[in-house]
Amino acid sequence: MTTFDRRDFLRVVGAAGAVTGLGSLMWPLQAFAGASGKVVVVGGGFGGATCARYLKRWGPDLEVTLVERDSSFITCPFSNEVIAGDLDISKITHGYDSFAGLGVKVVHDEVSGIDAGGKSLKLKGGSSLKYDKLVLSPGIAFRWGSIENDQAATQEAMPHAWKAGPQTLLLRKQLQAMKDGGTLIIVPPKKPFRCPPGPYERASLMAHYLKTNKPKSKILILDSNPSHSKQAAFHEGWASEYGNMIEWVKDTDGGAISSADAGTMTLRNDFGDEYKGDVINLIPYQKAGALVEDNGLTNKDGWCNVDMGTFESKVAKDVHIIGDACVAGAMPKSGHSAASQAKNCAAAIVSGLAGNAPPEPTYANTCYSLIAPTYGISVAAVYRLKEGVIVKVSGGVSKVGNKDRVHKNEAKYARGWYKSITMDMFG
Amino acid sequence: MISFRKLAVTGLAAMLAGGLGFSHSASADGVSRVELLASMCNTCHGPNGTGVKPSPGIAGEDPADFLDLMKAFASGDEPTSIMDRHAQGYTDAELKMLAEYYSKQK
Repeated sequence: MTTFDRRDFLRVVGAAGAVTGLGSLMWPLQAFAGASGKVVVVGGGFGGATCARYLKRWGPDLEVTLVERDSSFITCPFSNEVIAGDLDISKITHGYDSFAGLGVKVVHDEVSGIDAGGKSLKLKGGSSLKYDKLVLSPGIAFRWGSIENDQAATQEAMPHAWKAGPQTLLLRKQLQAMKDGGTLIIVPPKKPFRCPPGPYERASLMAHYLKTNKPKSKILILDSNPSHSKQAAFHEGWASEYGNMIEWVKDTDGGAISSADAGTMTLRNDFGDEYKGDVINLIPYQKAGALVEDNGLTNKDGWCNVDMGTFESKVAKDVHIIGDACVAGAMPKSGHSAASQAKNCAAAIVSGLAGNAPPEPTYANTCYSLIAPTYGISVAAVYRLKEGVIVKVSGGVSKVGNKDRVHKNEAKYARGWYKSITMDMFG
Repeated sequence: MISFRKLAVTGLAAMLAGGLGFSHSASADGVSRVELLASMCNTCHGPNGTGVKPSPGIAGEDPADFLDLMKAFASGDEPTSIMDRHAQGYTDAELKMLAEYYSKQK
């Protein structure tokens, strides 16, 4: 890193040559003024909000516009505490007021079309925006119909609560209305999906509510997968905190649900087994958000292939895609991953617009899950780019057999993580 | 370490351009490696590592103490709920870079 390579030399000589050649002061000033240009970021969640902020931090001369449909953002992290009744939804709702002070223009609108060739995008409100670099952070969309009769119309009877907001409050209401001795069913989607430990944290915190309020109730997790995130640590915590209240049924044991009937609140698998629930949290299979699918930026599996160093799309030049929507090697689809990708993407864009190579990428993820309000577990990892693919170089899940003190600390630091990452996004 | 290359680039440019002062152009290089590395830490440790309770601050740490603690986390000598899993992901050179960086943050 301390070596002065040939590319640097040519770049500098080139810039200096322009001075002597043109005899003008404007050239060198421009060449050394740092990154300039127009960057549009679409989607103001963990990926987009972080990216807009770091673009401006590292490229103060950039013209940065953040396009976001909603006037505020409700985080999925800690929405399970809202469902369990431990937290008010206002505590996980964030506004975009701080962006103006940073010099980021926020436009509350939706994108109706992207013209990657013409480097512009149209908004539903009628205006259009030109860009030098475009960053898309669209999150996820649901693959309605992956389970027979699982469709948008079903989400009132069997809420997914997988995009935080009204669905979160609906599931909370249903949980609170459930009778003691009732059966609550959680159906996680087939992988890959946003927030891999999410369904299991949800089961934990719902169990915490039921243990106190409706102790005769039962939680059944009908899983389309053979294993799940932080499995050993979750199962240890479930046994110690909730006895046998939570039952996890893996795919081959009958957990793979193939059809849903909202009218009778029944789920079925291919063996003909029927499960009836008093409350059913049916989380649909997932793909990248509509914005990228509609604009031809997804692969055959419904996700976006990107250069994993810069997050530039493999199919559209100067269009970068970050967060849940992109294929990012070993990184899980989490808010922390999205923020980490956003910073690498911002660094690549700022360095590129300044006429330099981006710094060597580095990525991290930390996902805390609460088994109870004072019992936390985590997965944490550091990643590197190796031969074009993001690979894990360190990390893992909280150990089984940890002392109560560690569980307590992890719950405490989960809250610290939330405060810090949301400050990194929203100020 | 990062500033060496930046200084070399800027300095040579200024020299070749006939001694014009381009000292304001320190950010012309784009984003430094340590800025990107530190941005990973700041996700939990707050803006510029200043800490957001209950996440501890790391800004203004003595660089030798910072390095010693990170190495102890990585080896398992220092008990921690999570920092071992992060510390093991960085090289000694990177940890040194971060130690210097955070000693100057406040």
